[in-house]
Amino acid sequence: MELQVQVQVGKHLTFFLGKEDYGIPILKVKEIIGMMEITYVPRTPEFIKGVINLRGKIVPIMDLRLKFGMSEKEYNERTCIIVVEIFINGVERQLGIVVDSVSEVLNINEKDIEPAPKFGANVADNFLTGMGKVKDRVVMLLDIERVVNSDEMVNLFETQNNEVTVNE
Amino acid sequence: MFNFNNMKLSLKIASGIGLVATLFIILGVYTIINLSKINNDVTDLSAKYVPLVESMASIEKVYLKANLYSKAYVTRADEKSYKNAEKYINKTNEEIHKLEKQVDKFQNMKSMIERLEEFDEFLQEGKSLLKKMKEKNIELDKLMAEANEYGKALSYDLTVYSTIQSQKIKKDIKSNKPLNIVSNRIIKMLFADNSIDIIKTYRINALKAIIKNDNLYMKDNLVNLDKIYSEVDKILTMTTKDVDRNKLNNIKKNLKNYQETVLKIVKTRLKLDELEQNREKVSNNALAFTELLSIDGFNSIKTNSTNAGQVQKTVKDFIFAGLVTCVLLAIFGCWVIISSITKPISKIVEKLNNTSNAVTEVSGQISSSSQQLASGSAEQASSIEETSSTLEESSSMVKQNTENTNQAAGLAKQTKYAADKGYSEMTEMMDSMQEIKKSSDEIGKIIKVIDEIAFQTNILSLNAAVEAARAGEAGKGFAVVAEEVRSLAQRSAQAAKDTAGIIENNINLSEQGVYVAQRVNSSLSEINDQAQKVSELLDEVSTASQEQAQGISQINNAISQMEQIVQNNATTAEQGANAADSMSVQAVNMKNIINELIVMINGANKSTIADQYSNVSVQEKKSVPNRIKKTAQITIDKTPNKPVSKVKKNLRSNNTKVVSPEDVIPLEDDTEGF
Repeated sequence: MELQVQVQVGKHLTFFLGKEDYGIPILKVKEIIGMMEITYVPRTPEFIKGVINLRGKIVPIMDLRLKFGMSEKEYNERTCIIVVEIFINGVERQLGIVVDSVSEVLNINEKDIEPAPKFGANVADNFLTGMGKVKDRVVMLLDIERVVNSDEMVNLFETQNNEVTVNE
Repeated sequence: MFNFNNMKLSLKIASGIGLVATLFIILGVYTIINLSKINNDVTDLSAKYVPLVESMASIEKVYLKANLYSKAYVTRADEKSYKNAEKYINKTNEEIHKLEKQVDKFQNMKSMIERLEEFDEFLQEGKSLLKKMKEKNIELDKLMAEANEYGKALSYDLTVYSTIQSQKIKKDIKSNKPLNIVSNRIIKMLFADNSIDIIKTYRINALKAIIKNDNLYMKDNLVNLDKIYSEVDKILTMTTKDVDRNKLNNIKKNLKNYQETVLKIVKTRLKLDELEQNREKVSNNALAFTELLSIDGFNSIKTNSTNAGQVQKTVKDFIFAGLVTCVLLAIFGCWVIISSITKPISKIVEKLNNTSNAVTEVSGQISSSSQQLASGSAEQASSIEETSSTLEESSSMVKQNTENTNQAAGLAKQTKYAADKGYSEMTEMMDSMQEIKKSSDEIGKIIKVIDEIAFQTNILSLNAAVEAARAGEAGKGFAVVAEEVRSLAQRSAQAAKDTAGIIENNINLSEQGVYVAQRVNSSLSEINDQAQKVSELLDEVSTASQEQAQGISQINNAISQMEQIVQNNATTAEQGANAADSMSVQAVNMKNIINELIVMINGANKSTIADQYSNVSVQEKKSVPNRIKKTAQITIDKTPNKPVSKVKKNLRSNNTKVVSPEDVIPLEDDTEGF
């Protein structure tokens, strides 16, 4: 599959995972909520924490730390869920991403974005659309759809889809 | 168990000597018994066996003589020999009877009597044989005489006949008678001469045979005489005259008689020979018996003497062994007794010597120490005076103490009151502190709420920004508002954070204040307790001081008594010194006595051993007095100083022991704290 790097310019919502700044395009963000009660769903991958009831809508929750292979951290009052809208197999879906804390909404210009460095044929860099330079910090710009769009996620959403159809 | 060492000395000696004496007595008794046995044997030997053997020898001697005479009689056949033989045989017989009587006394020689009887039988047989021989000899003599007569008569007759015939021949020749008559006469004469020759020859041969003792020869040659018969018969035929015929018949008859007599002689001689042979046999047997007898005698003597010798040897050996054991036992017993007596005595003497030396030394020490004691007593008296003055001082000090104590008690009560006041104020302060802490906590809660609100506002502003972004151009203004709201939220969050820090600090400080107040509180309560204790202790001190005052008055009494006692002590010490002097004199006396004892035990000559004792005593002197001196010095050093120092010590200890507030409460430290 050909790698297609689409540099996204404009406003980004930045958040922290550990000490690092990450950014996702603000148009992908549906809403930001504090930590809620998560209902555990059995037989799901480790990074899927379960589902929440967001104003009558079931939204699956993914711990980005676990997804990125970082050590798990206990949730506190700063922990937030960023609800993003993504397209899986052409269907728009909502997904909650657990991050350490949300930071701010930044406008990153094109000149401040540099492509992600290629460390060989690494899969990890597929997630990154570029490196944003803000003052003397670096914000890793994530392509959230790529992060989510792996086989496991597809399967997960398919089952969810089925269930939804059954319910309807 | 019986123990030799525990016995009395006299009993020991007596037992040792008694043992040796008993052994000697046993030895002596045994020796006497065995010597008497030997004596019996020897007397037996001399009194019985020797005569026995003597008589046996005499029997042999006598019998040998008898035998000799018997033999002589056999060869000679004379009366003297016979008589001698008979005499000696009788003598032998007598001797045998004597011997039999002697042998009868011995129990162990019954066989000899039998043997002797047998011998006697042989003797009797020999005697009877000899008698028979004598008879035969008489008979033989008779027969010989007879034969001789017959022979003579025959010779005479024949000679007469021959002469008659020769005369007749002469007559016939003269008368010229016919020739045949003359020839007959010549034949007759020749016959007579011839017969005479034959008889003569025979008689000569017979004599030779008798001398040669050849009896058979006589008998064999007797046949030669038979010729005469035929000649006589021939002549008888020629003879006609009766006178001549008678003569011839007479000759014939005489010849026959002679022949018969000779035969008888031969027979008798044969008989004699036989008898002689028998006698010889008997006598040989008898001789063999005599030999046996003498051998028996010698054997008996030999056995007897060897028995005696053996007994003697065993006795000798026993006596030798007994003597050796007795001597060894005596030596050993002497050694044991001597060692058992002298060893303990020497040990005792050695100990006595040491002890007397020690006593001498000690008595010297005692005298010097008692003198020192006397001087010490004087010192003591002066010390006691000092003590009594010191006591007066201390009684005044005790009074002052009591006053001071009362003052101290008042101060302690004040301290306690102050401490109580401080405690109640501190409690109030603590309550205030607690309230401060409580309100600080509340403020913290409020600030947390503010922080929460700021956070939520932040999220809201972000959501607003998102929404504004989504709205595109239309939301631009809204985005600005959202930004502002966000910055406000951040500011309020920051403010809340700062306030929270301040409040937290406040809380910490108030907590510290509470902690310090608690500590102060506990210290105050401690002060309270200790002030209580101080007042109690001071009460005790005042009572103790009163007791002390009483005690001091008692001590005063005691010291006045002590003065008296010290005076008594001084006099007693002097007496003790005198006694020690006399004791040292006694000790010297004792030493002399011990030296005498040493001389008695070891002898005056063996001065080396006495020196040894004295050396030992010198060594002991070196070692013992040092120890005594040390102890004496210690006592001397102690005795004069002790009472004074003790009294002082007691005073001091009383002071320190009863009144020791410094030990109980570290007052100075606490005052600094205040």
